[in-house]
Amino acid sequence: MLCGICKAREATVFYTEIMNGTKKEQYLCEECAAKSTSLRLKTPFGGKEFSLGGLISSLLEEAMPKEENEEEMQTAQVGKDMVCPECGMSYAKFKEEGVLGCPSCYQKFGRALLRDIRSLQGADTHTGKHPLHFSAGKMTTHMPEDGLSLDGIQKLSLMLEQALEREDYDLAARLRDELRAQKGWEAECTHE
Amino acid sequence: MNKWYENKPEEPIVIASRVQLRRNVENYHFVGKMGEGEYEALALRARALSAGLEEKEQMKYYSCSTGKLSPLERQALEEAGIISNLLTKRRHETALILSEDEGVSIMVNEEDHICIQTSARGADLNSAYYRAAGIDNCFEELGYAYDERYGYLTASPQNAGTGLHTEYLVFLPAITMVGKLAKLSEEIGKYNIIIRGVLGEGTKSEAFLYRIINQKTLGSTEEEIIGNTEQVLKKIVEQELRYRKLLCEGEGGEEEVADKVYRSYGILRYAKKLASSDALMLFSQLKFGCDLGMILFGQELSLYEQFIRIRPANLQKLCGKNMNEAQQERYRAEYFNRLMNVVGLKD
Repeated sequence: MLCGICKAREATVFYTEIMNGTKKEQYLCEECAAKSTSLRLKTPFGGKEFSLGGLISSLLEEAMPKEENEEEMQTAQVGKDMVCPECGMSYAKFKEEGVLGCPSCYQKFGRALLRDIRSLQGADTHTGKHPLHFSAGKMTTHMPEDGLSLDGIQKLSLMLEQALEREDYDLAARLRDELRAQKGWEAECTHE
Repeated sequence: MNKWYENKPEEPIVIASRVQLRRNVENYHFVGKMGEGEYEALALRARALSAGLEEKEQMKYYSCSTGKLSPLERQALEEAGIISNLLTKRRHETALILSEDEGVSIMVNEEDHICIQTSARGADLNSAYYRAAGIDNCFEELGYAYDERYGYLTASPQNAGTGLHTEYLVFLPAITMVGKLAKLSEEIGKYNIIIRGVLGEGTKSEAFLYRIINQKTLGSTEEEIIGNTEQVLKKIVEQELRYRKLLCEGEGGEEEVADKVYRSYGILRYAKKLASSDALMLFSQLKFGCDLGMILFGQELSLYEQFIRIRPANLQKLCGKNMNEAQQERYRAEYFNRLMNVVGLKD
């Protein structure tokens, strides 16, 4: 197939561009692709071997770029300067020594620590045992921005199910009452 | 009362199972940031709970401030795996709570406020875990630092979540001899399990003894962590048995192994001086010979027991007096010379 722009050279690149919601597809030769598309900003076609991996990574950089990278860098920068007001431990010192200063550090170091925990543990949410007298309302680490947290009622329902599975009826009864109270409170808020 | 490792005969491959639960107490900073009076206050609060443990387990519990022990006693406890090296190095107030059978040891103010450690004979992580979990429930009275998302909050985020480390102590002479340890380490790494040599650097071991430990503590339940470690152990045991068979079936293989076993016997029987690491390596060879039916041991052969007994501080305790290194080597040799009286050689 010939290139859709110069109509002379063989098309070797299938180029799809979505601009303002409009999808544009073209078969192009390497030279026209380099000259006429945004790929020229990132992809060194001229004289160099074309690599699919390179194309994909440059497309990814093009597609979801700077905001995330900048956010990442900002978090890292802010992270370095963070100090836990409870114990005086700095995030930079934690990164050096590997130990935190107090339980509050988990909350104070927020997203930076969340990222560290994910990379260390390959997970970020505890699913195992909890203290017998742990109250569902007693939460210290809220991270709603990453979309993984459940709301209070969902959490209580989940814990109620788990308690019933374990046949921990004492805890289940307390959770049921707490759930009722929260639902009632939510209904009141909605009516207001 | 028998020690936990004296209750059952030693298995050929899986020597012991061990569990560690790490916990911290709310309203206190982690150990590195606590105030001077707080170390003592927390140690006292934790030690006060040992009476409840006695009642729960119907067993005596001892507790002490580890700083009050002599350096030799601390070293002996460390050699026996009852306390960690970090606890012996701590300059602030630390405490130990120990069950009479030594199957439970609780370290206070080590890396975390509370570290509950339980041991069981053979491949029995479940018993070790449920014993630890029961003690954990008693200690909850202290008010644990717990977060709904991150679970039990630990000084190092590497232990957060369940705070659970499971460990098998295994005897792997065949895998070591055929040089497959690096490959094994790579394979089990995919399951987030690591292998560490006992008394050696990294994966190297001086006596074919290794620790198989889970790396990750967050994102899985305690049962899943135990199940995963059990699965990996099963594969390791299969491999060790396969290589043991291959070692003996190959041309001249059995003769080669027998030569090592009998040489070890000879040295242990007649040596006049023995260093701790040498003695342990030689005794490991002897255990291997015993597992393969090449020699008969006239009494219960426990590598684990000897492993503890012949190390410097425990040897001095056994002898009942302080000894310098040369005296220890002589005493160790005499000890093994006597022990070899119960060994019977095949043909």
